[in-house]
Amino acid sequence: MRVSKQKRAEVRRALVRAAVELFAADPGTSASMREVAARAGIPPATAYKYFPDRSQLFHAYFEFKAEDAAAALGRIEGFAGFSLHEKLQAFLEALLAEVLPEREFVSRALRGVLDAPLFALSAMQPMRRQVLTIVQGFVDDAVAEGSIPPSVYHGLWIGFFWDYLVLVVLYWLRDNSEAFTKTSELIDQSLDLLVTLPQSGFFDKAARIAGFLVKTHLHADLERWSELFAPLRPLHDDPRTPAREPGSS
Amino acid sequence: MSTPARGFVRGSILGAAVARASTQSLGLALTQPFRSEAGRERAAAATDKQIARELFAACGVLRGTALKLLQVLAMEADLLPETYRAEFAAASYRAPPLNRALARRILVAELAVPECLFAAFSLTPFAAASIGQVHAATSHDGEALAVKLQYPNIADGIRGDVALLRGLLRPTRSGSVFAACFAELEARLAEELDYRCEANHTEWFRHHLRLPGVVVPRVTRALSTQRVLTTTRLGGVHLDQWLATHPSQAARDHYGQLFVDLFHHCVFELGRLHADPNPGNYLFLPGGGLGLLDFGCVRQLAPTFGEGLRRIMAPNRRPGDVAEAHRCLGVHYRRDLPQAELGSFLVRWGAWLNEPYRVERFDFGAADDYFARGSAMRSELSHCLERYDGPFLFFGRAHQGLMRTLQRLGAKVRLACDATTTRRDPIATPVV
Repeated sequence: MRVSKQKRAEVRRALVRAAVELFAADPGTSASMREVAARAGIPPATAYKYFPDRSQLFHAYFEFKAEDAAAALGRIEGFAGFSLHEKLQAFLEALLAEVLPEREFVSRALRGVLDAPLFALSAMQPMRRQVLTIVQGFVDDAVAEGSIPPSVYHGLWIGFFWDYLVLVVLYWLRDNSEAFTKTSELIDQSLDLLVTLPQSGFFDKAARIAGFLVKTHLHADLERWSELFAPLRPLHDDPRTPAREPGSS
Repeated sequence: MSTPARGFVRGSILGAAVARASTQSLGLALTQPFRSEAGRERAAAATDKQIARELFAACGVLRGTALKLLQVLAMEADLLPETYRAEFAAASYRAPPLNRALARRILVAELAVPECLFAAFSLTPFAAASIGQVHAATSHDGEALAVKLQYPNIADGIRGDVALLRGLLRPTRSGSVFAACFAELEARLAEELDYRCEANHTEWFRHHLRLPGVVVPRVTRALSTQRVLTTTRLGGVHLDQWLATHPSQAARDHYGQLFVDLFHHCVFELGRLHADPNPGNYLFLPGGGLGLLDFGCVRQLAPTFGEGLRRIMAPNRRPGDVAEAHRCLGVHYRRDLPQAELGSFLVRWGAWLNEPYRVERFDFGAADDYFARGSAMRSELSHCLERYDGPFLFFGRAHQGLMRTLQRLGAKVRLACDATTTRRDPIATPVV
């Protein structure tokens, strides 16, 4: 029997919720997939089909939270009229608000991911793609409304946003200010700086300088080097020099 | 909005300013013996100006509490040296507003999402100041509300800012004058940063202020916290906008009289002063009413304060009595000056203050000569000053604000009632 997409999403969410609940009940222990499945009321075999390994539960947790944060943005009145800075800030704040009830869990999950070998980071790719798709949408809106100029390098900047997000979450996990206002201020001030890059066409300008340096200096150096090696050139270029036969002594 | 919030960063910005100020003072002290008397005076004035500039630059970078302190000093009484007043007057700076996402975040952290709290909430503020900004909202009952949001982390390092500013001013010639004010400034600032205090003050004034024509907004307690203050929103315009409508002289006189009566009512009857005379805190309401906003900075006056003022301004006083009355109000003069000369100067100063009270109606629209004479006397007075205590700082600030507002209104008003007697005259009929 084919399981609908919606049903699959519900099962995945139920398993993730069960994992978070088990963690909240006893943060010191690591529940097995079997225990998670039992709490979610799902047969273990089905659970393994959705999450072959326990760490994937963590990644799915973040995917769901990113989805929920994006959905929360839709409920903000006048969100479409926000600037790029405001949209990104609202998204980050919404994401932190979504994971706030499970702060301890996030701390442990993130530690696990950061301590894990590189292949575990690749497991975060679906969530990374999801976040970057959302950010790409904000950037496209900003380009369409003319608040930032179009650029082939926007993708590069968007790619950095993922690393920035991880840093913000790490700061938030250590933030002990009331209502995490210091994190909000960090987000505000850092976005102030970050958004300046696409707004000012920073990457295009940097690329132009790089192109100029390569053309005018690197090419000139290459010519100088070729002059330096000019005495050796006849060895290669002189038609009188017989080409060596492979294997000849 | 970016505000350097970390103590270390704030400390280093002000610390560098303190170091520069100290170097300048040291340089002045080392070179003064080689100057003529006139040259010494000029050099000291130049150093003061330079230090005031340094202070302004440092506070401008820090914003928040440092900027607020600077604004208090800028509005300060007549008694600061001219150099400082000129530099501080430039501090009428307003912080740029919070972006909409951050404003919403603050409201959510303090109360809940605005969509649940209000029928409508504008994320773009309609007014901004140094420590917060005000948003328009509509309650579920359709009532117009004003929601004041405090900038995040603004209260951080308030003590450090005060200490560093104190250090910055210490090497100046007027260091002792400022030094005595800082404890008071710190206390008032701490109150101002707690919007629950402001809610209490607003309710107190709403209950006790019995002056026809003056309106105080009502606080909505359920939608107010330490960092959010929700009140009813009064329709009306600020002074600049009102003046742009080219009001009649009668309307100017009416509002001028309201301002004067309000000031006298607070000082002589309520014994509590609305000590933030920023023009943005007054609304000219349709129908001739005056809306009074922002009760963040309120100073309670001692019962003897009003009496002390009467003694200062009373004519035919002996110089010794006037000097004593000044001391009672918390204004202390240098002891190394010839006391007889100082006393007679204070009598002249009291006479100047009393001038508008001696005529039936004083015309602030034709008072350039009066204020020019006052400015010259203030300059002289500032050199005689040793220090003054807290309450007078805020009284001076409020009085200065009143004078400025009356001048801008060009109003012809009657002052001669409350300053010399406790009897109150009826309030002028509102002019529509």
